Amino acid sequence: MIIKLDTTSATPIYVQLRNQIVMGIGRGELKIGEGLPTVRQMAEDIGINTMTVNKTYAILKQEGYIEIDRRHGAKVSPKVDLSGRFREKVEIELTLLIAESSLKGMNRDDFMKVCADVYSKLNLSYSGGTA
Amino acid sequence: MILTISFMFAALIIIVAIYSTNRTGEKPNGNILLGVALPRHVLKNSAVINIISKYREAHSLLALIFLILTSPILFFSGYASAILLYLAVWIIVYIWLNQKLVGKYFMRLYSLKKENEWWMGTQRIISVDTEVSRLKGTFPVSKKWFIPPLIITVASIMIILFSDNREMLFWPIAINGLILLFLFFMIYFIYSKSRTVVYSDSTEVNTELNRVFKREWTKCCVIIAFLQSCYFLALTFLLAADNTKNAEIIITAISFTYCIILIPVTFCAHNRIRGVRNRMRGLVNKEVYEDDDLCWAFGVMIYNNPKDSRTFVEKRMGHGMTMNIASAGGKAFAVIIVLAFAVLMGFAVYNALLELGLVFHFI
Repeated sequence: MIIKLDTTSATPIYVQLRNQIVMGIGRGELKIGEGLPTVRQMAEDIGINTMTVNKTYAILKQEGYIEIDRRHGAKVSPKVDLSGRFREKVEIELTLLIAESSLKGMNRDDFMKVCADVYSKLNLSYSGGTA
Repeated sequence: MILTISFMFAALIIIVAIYSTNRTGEKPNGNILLGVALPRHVLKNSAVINIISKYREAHSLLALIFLILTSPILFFSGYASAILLYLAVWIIVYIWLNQKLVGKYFMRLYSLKKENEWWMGTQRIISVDTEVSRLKGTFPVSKKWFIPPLIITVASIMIILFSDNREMLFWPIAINGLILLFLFFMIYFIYSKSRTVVYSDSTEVNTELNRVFKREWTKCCVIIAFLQSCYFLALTFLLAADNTKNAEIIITAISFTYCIILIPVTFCAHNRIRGVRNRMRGLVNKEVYEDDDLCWAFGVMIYNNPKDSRTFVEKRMGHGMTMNIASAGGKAFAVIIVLAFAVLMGFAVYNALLELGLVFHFI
């Protein structure tokens, strides 16, 4: 999987890295059980501090996307969490996005169409928690 | 007379090296022409060809002028340090003017690219292939290959220790052997750890190209370390046996042989990497570019990109690698080179003045 990070973006690098890995798992570019580079290797290749990559991996592990083994490093384990906590997170983020879209003049149909287009463009391999 | 011919020969080698390096800028290296990354379809554009032909005329004329300027070496015959000093000034001026000239035509081509918006990607985006990054530790040759050169270098020190003719000349030779071995190990380490490059959207192609790059250059470091340890062993052995009577001739002969062997070793590594790259790039659907033209300074000779963590990067013109002076390792290597050159120049100036009778020995 090829990760692309924008150094001038307002989004912090660790968030961009987390989002790219999650999208990679979603699209099936990173398969279940597939190894990820070690924290040091990833930090060397991106040219950032190991602490930043460590932070990303810790978040991904906490969210259940990866497993960290002391001997074999990190590997993909997509336990897609659709529990109440995750749904609550989605609702909060969508509420803000819908409110902003509405203020910019986007109606419900336009918003739903954009959502559908983006969803189909992502070409997700995992849907509704199944592979 | 032999000394004058040697210096003339050295000057000719420098002219040929600079001229042939300049010539590589005239031919496309992938999608790079005269150090500028261009879309493949514009490489035959008439405005681009015009800039390249003017560049060819200008650098050929410069080579001719500096060939004529080698003639004063003949007038200093018998004054080795004076010739060395003249040659050093000649090299500095030649390289300086040449890089100015390359930089001028590079900027012309870059301006043309800017006017026509021939952009190749963006410098702000960092690309990483997770599979290549994960496997990169397996690409270099094992560091255990440094054990034989270390044993040979230690053996050359042993020869001095147990030799009856322990002249002062021997110790710097042995210490240089150890320092150079350490230096090559450091370069090996930098190549092993340097960041991987994303060349295309295909992980297989990226893996193979990064594997070849790291393997060939680390192998090159091991071979050169082995050759230089043999060189120092031969040197100490012959000097110890010869009792330093013909020391100068022995040092010159072995050094010349050593230098001659180094050139094909480096060229082979470089050509193998470039050959695999050209072959593999034909197999990919989409190449990935980083448009970092303006990170190349001093006539496309030095790389200065703070967003790139690599210490050494492949040259856009000529053969081999160059330093990224924005990295900590690149800065350290640049300081070492400048200091070594300054020390050499200092000795040459002092000895030249001594030969001409303008200063006296301190002791």
